[in-house]
Amino acid sequence: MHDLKLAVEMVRILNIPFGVVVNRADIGDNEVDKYCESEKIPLLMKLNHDRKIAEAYSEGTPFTLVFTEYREKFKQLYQKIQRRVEL
Amino acid sequence: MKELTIISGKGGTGKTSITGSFAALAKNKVLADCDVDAADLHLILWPEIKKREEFTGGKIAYINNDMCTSCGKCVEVCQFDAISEDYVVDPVSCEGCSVCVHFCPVDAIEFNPAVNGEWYISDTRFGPMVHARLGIAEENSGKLVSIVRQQAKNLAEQQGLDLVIVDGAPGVGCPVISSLTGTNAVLIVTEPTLSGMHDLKRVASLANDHFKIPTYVCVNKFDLNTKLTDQVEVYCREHDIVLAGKIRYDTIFTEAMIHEKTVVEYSDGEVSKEIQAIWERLSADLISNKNK
Repeated sequence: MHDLKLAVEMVRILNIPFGVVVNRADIGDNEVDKYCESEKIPLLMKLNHDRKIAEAYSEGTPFTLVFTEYREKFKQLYQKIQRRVEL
Repeated sequence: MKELTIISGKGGTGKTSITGSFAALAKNKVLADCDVDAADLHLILWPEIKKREEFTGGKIAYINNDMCTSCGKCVEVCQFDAISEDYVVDPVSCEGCSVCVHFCPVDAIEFNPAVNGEWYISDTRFGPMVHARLGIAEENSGKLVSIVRQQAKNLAEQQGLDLVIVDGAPGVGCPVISSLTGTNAVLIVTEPTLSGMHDLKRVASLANDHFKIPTYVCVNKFDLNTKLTDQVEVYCREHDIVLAGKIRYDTIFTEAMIHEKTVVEYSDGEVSKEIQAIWERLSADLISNKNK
C-alpha cells in the first residue's frame, strides 16, 4: 500500500497512463480497493494467493502456460490495458 | 562496534521482514534503513521522529526570467529536453549537468542545490533508528545511503551501542555498493527461484569476491523448490559463503507485514524459530570478533 502510493505519485509526475493489479488480494484487507476508488485509479485485476504460482515461477515457467484457468483472466487484463493505451 | 548489512539482490525475498525480526531479537543496536528509494522498515517499526534534516544530493538549474533574453541557447544545448519553450526547467528531466549554466550568454541561469529528500533520527520500540525518504523520481540515493549509515554509526558511538543493523538497498547498483562498503558482515536473503539464484550470484560476487566482506546467505521460502535450494547450498560451499539458515515458505510474512508487525512478534511458529536460529548464528560470529 505504501509503495503503491509512491509508484502512483511517480507515474503521475511522468504523466503515463496506469492501472493497478492486486496480487495475493485475499491475504490483505480492502485498503487497496478503497484507495483506488477514491483516487479514481482503474483496478484491472485481482489474483488470490496461490502457492503453485510461486512454484512455477521458481522454475522460470510462466504460470499461465501450465495453469490454464489463469489464461482468460490475463487475456482480459491485456485487452483492458490495450483499451487504456489506445484512448 | 559492528555493522551488519542485509541485502537481497532480487526484490521480494523477505529482506525487510527478516531485518525487522532481527531488530526485535538483537540487543544494544541502532537500526538503519538504507533502502531509501522505497523504504519500508518504518512500516513495521513505527519510528517516532526526533530529528529531521533535508537531503541535498544534486544540483538543479533555475532560469531567472528577469534576465533571460529568450535566445534559445539553453534549449539547444540541453541533452535531456528539460527546458520548455517558455524557458522553465522541468525538475524531473533536469539531470543537473549545468551545461545550460555554462552556455547562457547573459548568466541568467542559477545552479542551486536541490532538496532530494529527508533523513530522520527516530525512536522505535526496539531502539534508535536512522532512516530517510528520497523524493519521488529523485536520484543520488547512494549519497543518501552513506548519510544514513554514518548517522547510525555516530548514534551507536554516542550511546555506547555495539551494533548497527543495516537494511540495505535492492539490486547491485550504486545504492547497494554504498550500503556495503566497509561493513563488517553481510547477509544475503535469497529465495530458490531462477531469478533469486541469478541475483544472488551477482550480489555475492560483489560482497564476497570484490569487497571481501564475510558473507552469509539465508534461503527464504526454501521448500518452494528444494532442487534450487540445493543449488544455492552448493554455490555457497564453492564460494566460501556461510549458509546461515533456511526459512520455510509461509504467508505469515505477508500477514505480519499487513498487521505492521515483525514476523517474530506476530508468530511464534516454525518460521520465527528459523529466523531466531539465523540471528543467533550471525550474532555469535559478530560478537566472537570473527568479522574484523
